Amino acid sequence: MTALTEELKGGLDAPICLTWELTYACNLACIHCLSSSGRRDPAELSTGEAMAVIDEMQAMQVFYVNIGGGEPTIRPDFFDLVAYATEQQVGVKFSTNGSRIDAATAELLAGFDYTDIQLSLDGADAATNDAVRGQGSYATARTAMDHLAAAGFGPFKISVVVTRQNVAQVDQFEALVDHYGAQLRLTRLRPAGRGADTWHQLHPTNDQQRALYHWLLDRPEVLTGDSFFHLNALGERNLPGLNLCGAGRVVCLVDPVGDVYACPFVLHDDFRAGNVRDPGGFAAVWRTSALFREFREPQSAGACAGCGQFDACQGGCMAAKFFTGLPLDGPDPECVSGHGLDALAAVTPAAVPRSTSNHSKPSSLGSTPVIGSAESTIVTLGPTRHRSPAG
Amino acid sequence: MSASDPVAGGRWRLHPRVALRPEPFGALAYHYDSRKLNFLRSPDLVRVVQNLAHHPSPRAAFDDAGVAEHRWPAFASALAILARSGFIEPSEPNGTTLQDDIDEAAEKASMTAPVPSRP
Repeated sequence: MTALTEELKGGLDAPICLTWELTYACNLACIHCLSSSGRRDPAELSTGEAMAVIDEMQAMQVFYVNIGGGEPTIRPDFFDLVAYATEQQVGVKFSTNGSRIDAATAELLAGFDYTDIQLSLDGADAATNDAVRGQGSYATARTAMDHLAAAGFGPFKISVVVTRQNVAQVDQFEALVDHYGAQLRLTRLRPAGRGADTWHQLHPTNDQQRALYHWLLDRPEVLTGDSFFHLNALGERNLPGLNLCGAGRVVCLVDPVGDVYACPFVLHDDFRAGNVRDPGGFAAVWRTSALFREFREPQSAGACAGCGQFDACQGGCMAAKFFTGLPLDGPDPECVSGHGLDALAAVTPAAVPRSTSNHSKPSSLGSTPVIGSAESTIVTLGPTRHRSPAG
Repeated sequence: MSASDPVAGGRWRLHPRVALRPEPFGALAYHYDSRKLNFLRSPDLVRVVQNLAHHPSPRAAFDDAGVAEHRWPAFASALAILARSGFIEPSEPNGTTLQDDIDEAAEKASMTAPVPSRP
């Protein structure tokens, strides 16, 4: 473990990597959606409030923000917010399913400086992708990629959540990014949001994890958001990255209603540090919230203390443990040494915590994902979580 | 020593598209063109980097920042890493004539540079 990792555990004055979900509205209903998105929340930040958050990021020197959702491009003010952020020297990388990227939008985006696009794709073919993201979503994403390439946008990113079903397609994903001159990003599936319901079917097997670790070691150019550090226990070499859980230390999430969570994968009241509408705004939440201060204290290795691999894997992902009902100071459910399996077997299903934020559309609950028109999702339905607009 | 190596001397500067953000351990450096991050893990190194352009050579910047001579090899290694990733650059097209004893020292310096870069 490097001294840098130790220093980062004590927290930074501002996050390195801030994820900001602009809306819970989404025209898809992916079965692993970590934010259980679907319907817009009536308490979502207004354009003015969102711009005030950007002003705070600029003042705190948050150099770039990862914008997501929901489908962020559904917001009518989306491009205004992107333009405003980049004017304030806050770079933008946004994730999209591509449904709003037609030829004209691709041209517009190609003219934006300091903006990255991440297109989500969870299968190298339509069958694999659409089983997770909904019928037609593969074709939609590919069409958007074609538009971006035709507009000369440059190297956009293709972002894949690694599953048991698509992990064998990594070479095909690599060929696809080569075809577009794009960049490949692979991230870890978490049992968060609707992902809690599908994680047991979707998460890679241990043999697949081992193959992935070696594949990634050979390809340091593949982006991972540092999400696979639990695999470092598999060998002598660490995957590139910071090798630590950055929750509340170097990363956090701002959700569409302004709630600040420790990371994008823990939309649960236990990990909510405050709201950007609170006095002092985002900076006060980041710097003074009791929750984040707790994360920056030295953490116990707990049940993992006796394992010689703890320095390599850091005990894994907090969110993966929490939403599978495991103690936070014990093994990751996907512990490569198998310690998670015994722990999982001892979990009482009824005691497993659920995300406290759920904006799923009724049609997506327990049914095959379907793609509606983007417009239909802007209709405001009742919030599934009570929160006053004033916060 | 090549013209792109700061330990060879000459006047250097922080790249104009690099921003420094103060942090408890020193500073976080961000390059707006390459979008790379670097951690400057010592307040002394931050001072050196900020003031490079005001000195005829990195060595003079070390001196001015009060960096003890035994730390110069480590600092030279750190600057070499920053130069390779474009975070600092020569401030004059031909400003690489001063040979300092630190370049030799830097070559002998250990590989544990205090400024790891993040991919």
